[in-house]
Amino acid sequence: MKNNRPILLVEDDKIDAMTVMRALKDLKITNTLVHVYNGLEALDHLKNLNYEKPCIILLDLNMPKMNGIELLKVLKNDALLKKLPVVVLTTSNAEKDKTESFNLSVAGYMLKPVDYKQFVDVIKDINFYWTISEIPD
Amino acid sequence: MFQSFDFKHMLPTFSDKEKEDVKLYYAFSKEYEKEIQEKSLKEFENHPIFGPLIKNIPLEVREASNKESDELLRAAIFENSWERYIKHLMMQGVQYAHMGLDFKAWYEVVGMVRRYYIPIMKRLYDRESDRISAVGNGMNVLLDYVMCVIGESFIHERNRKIEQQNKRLEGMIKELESFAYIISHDLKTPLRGIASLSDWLTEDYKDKLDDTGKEYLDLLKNRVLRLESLIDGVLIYSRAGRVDTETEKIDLNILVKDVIEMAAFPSHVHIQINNSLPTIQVAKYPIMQVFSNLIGNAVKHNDKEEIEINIACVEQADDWLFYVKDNGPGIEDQFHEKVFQIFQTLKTKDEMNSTGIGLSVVKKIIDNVGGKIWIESKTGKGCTFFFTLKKASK
Repeated sequence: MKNNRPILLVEDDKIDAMTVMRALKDLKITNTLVHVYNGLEALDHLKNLNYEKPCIILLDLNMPKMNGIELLKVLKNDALLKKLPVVVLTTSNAEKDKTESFNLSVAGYMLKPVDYKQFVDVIKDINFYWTISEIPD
Repeated sequence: MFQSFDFKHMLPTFSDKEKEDVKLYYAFSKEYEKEIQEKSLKEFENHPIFGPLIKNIPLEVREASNKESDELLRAAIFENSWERYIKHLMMQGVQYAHMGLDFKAWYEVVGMVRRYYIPIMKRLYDRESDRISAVGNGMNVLLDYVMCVIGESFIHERNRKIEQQNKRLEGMIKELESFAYIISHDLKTPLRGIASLSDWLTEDYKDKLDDTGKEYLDLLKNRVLRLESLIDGVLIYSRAGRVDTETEKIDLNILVKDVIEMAAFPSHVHIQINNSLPTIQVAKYPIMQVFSNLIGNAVKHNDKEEIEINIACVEQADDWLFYVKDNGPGIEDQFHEKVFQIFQTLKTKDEMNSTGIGLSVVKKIIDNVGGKIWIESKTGKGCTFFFTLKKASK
């Protein structure tokens, strides 16, 4: 990653979260990972001034309480939060989800592979891109 | 029901002469109504459509309804007040539509009326040919008009029913489609969990696991990947059903070459296109899938050292007949239908890494454009898949 701010993972499935953590470790990415389980928890975290703002948000779409699309709608209407790059990380290959996500200005849309090694590749590519790309402060 | 329906265009357009004839016919029919009713009752009772109706409706109700109908008809003919009679006829049309019978069957009643009235007319007005023709004309004009009105509301109501059903079906298709997405999503999440955990067990405990343990984990992983391709297959199959894909003019020579190039077969695979393929109006992606799956199957299941595949097209009157022929092991007669069903494979799934999706998708695509697909094959002598595409496909 371009800077050493934390990565915020919004993900309701425990093993998927473990997979991301393990992939970060395998790839020797040193940013800390903050894991929340749904959109509401993500908002609580992002609005709490005691926490450092993340460099990027990895966002699952299908979650309880507040799903990914609902969270995106709130984020993109928030003057302080809308600049945060959000990369969707989901199982959904539905055209509707992709269109809605990009309409809400996501910075990327990645499908979660079933195979762990491919999953690591996805995280590797995300990291690679966000090491080259500038990130707003 | 017809509050908003404009009945004005349904008013009769009888000429003055026809109006007089209708009046004459009405007077005549009233006079002989009883006689004819008695004579025709037997035929009505034995009639496949009217018989059960007569039996199911009590006499008083039938008489009351006839009386009402008659009063409305009289008012229409003699006072030129057609509105209520038209509504009455249209209600009949609606009822008939709901009985789910062909309108033609109802029209038989016209023939029956004629059959009973005409002999009486002839007997009565033996020498007065003018009178016969006037009453006969009145009868024809009125019966035609009545059946037109009933027919129009019959068709109107039946179309309304069909539209309703179509809407319901559309809703169901959409629901099924989103159902397939939800299923694939919700099944894949736990599946990914299982795959990751088995990977980590293999990796983190490789010193502690003996060979059997490692083999079990490999098998577990293998099944996980197969389940994944099955889930993907369900999605592909459900998407193959979509008919809203836009069509374009496609040169199949180019398309088939592209399909073959993309597959990048090894050098012992020889694919020949026997004659020039046509350019047709189709949806590109589905037709690519058809060729890709058929050719892919012919290669995948082939047991020869040199694999020969022939593709050709024959022009027929209304459609194009294509075939994909291979020199593989062939398919026994008893499986010619079965291979097109979803998840059906002829070999164990470990032997062949297949899911049983490919041919079911091909069949669904061909079915959707109104084509046919079938197999000709003898065990050990290769296999030919035939399919047709309509020349005027939408």
